[in-house]
Parts: sequence; C-alpha cells; structure tokens
Amino acid sequence: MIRLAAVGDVHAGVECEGRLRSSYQHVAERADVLLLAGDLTRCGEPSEAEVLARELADVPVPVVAVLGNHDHQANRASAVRAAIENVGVHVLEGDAVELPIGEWRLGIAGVKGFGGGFLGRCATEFGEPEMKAFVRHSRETADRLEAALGELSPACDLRVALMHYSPVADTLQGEPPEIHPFLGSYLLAEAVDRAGVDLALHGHAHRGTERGLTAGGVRVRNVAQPVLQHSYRVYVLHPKGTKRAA
Amino acid sequence: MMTERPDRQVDTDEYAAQQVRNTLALDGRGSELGVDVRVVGRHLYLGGSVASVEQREAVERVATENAGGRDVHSDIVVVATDEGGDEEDLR
Repeated sequence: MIRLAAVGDVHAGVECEGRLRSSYQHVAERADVLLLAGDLTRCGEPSEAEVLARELADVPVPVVAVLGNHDHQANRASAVRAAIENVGVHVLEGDAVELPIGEWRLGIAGVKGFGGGFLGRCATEFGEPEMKAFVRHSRETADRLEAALGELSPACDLRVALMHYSPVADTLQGEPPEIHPFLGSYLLAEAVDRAGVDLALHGHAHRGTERGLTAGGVRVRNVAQPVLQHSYRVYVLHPKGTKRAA
Repeated sequence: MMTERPDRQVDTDEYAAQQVRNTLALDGRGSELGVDVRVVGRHLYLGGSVASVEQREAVERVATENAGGRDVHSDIVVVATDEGGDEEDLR
C-alpha cells in the first residue's frame, strides 16, 4: 500500500513561523508522501513562501505541491515556487514526478487548474477576448494535466492527479452554486478520466465537501484544510487491483 | 415630463456584506476569500476558517473598520494544527 497525506489551502502567512512544523514532522509515521494542493501562501508573497519552506525543510517524506490562486496574488509566483523548491519540494505545473515508495512506484502529475464550470453549466470560448482568455486558460491547464499524466511511465503502480481547482462539482457541495464556475472546471475531470488515475486531489473550495467522483469513476477528494479541519488527511491506496477509468 | 422614480434602497444588507467581502479579499491584512460575511440590519456576522489567530484578528479588524458602525460578531475558527485527521482506506 501507499499512504498519501494531503492538504490544500494552508494559506501560510509570516505569522505561521514555527507553527506548522510539528504537524508535518510526524507525517512519516502515518504517510509515505505529503501532497499540497495549492494556496500554500495567503498573499503570494515570497516571504510567506519562505516561512512555509522552513516549516517543510525537515519533513522526512517527499513533498509534492501545486500552486493556487493565492500564490499568484502578488504576481510573484515564480519566486514563491523557487522558495518552496529550495527545500526540495517538487512543485508541479503541467509536469509530473515519479517516486519510489518501498516496492511501489508512485506517479503524480499536477497543475493549478482554473475555473470555467461544469457540464451543462460552463463557460465557452466565445465572444469577448476576456471571456475567450478565461476559458482558454482553463482548457490549456487541463491539456497540460493530461499531457503530464501521459508522460508518467508504465512502471508507475499508482497515478495521482494533484490540482488546486476542482475537477468536479461533487466536492463543491456547500459552496453557493453561483460561484461553482470560479471553483473548478469539468475539463480537469475529462483530462483525469482520459488519462486514467487512481485518485484526484484538489483544494480551493473551503465550504465544499471532501468526497466526489468523476464521470469516469475516478475518486476525487477535496483536501482544502477548512474542509478537513485537520493539518492533513491520509489516504491509503492499494496498487494491486486499482481501478483505471475507461 | 420625467417619470418619477421609485425610492431605491441602495444601502442594503446585501451590498454592505459584499463590500466587506471585497475589502477582505483585497486588503493586504486580510486577503481572505473564504470568510463568510452576512449583514442583518445593524449586525455583521463573520464565519469560516483561517490559518492563525493573528489572521482571525486581522480579518475581524478589517471587517470592523468597514462595517459602517455595525456590531461585528465573529464565528471564525482557526484551523487546527494537529497530526492529521482520520485515515481513509481507498480500495
């Protein structure tokens, strides 16, 4: 089995120095890898990322992350990413990482993702340039996720998609339906289903619910910390007999 | 002759709540999109989760400054920093 610890929306601020370390240092007792589903920082300031990086520096398991919308707020996403990568965290954006976990090989592909909405209630790449740009970004990020999943080697025993925005509306239950188009896109689910993964993780929807399913039958978990109400959740996956969506 | 316009109520609870939500998102002290804001008459209610006690206080401060003199009631909780929640076995 492979044990994944996952959390999103940590929203680290400079005042969080020294407060997250105790949670993560013991993660090796419960999990083989720690996944961070975006919104690592509150305002997207490199100083906030450096605080989080120091908290993660001694985590004794591999850490894999994607950025979220908050990490872009200060227009310094590259510096945020660099600060986190500086302590050995794999930060994914349209790429993937493969990790040996005991006798198994775990493949993780990640993107931030974007909004756009869900089947029957989604935006279309039509009309004003602003609307086209909005939907284009959503489509392109989903395309990058699918390509990254496709690059994972067949040797991977388990494949996980890590996002910030949600691929399904299931895990948004509790959020006002009117804002669902700003919380995720079905294009992410379509990418996940086409590529075939064992688990899809996301954050972003603080008032949502934890559990959902794509149309293709892939389990989805919303690991936004306000949903979990814990430092992280541990998911146990079993490489043999895992389900691949058609 | 101009048509007489009906009295319009523009200072509604809904507009006031949205103004506070917008300020919480954009004010560098808050930068919170996930805080619930409701206004009922002379009262403003805050809810949701934030990462730290300092952040909760910052949000409450920004909301109070922009509450238009309303009484601010905060149910914001600070997310626990613990050793993780229950394990889920996915078979």
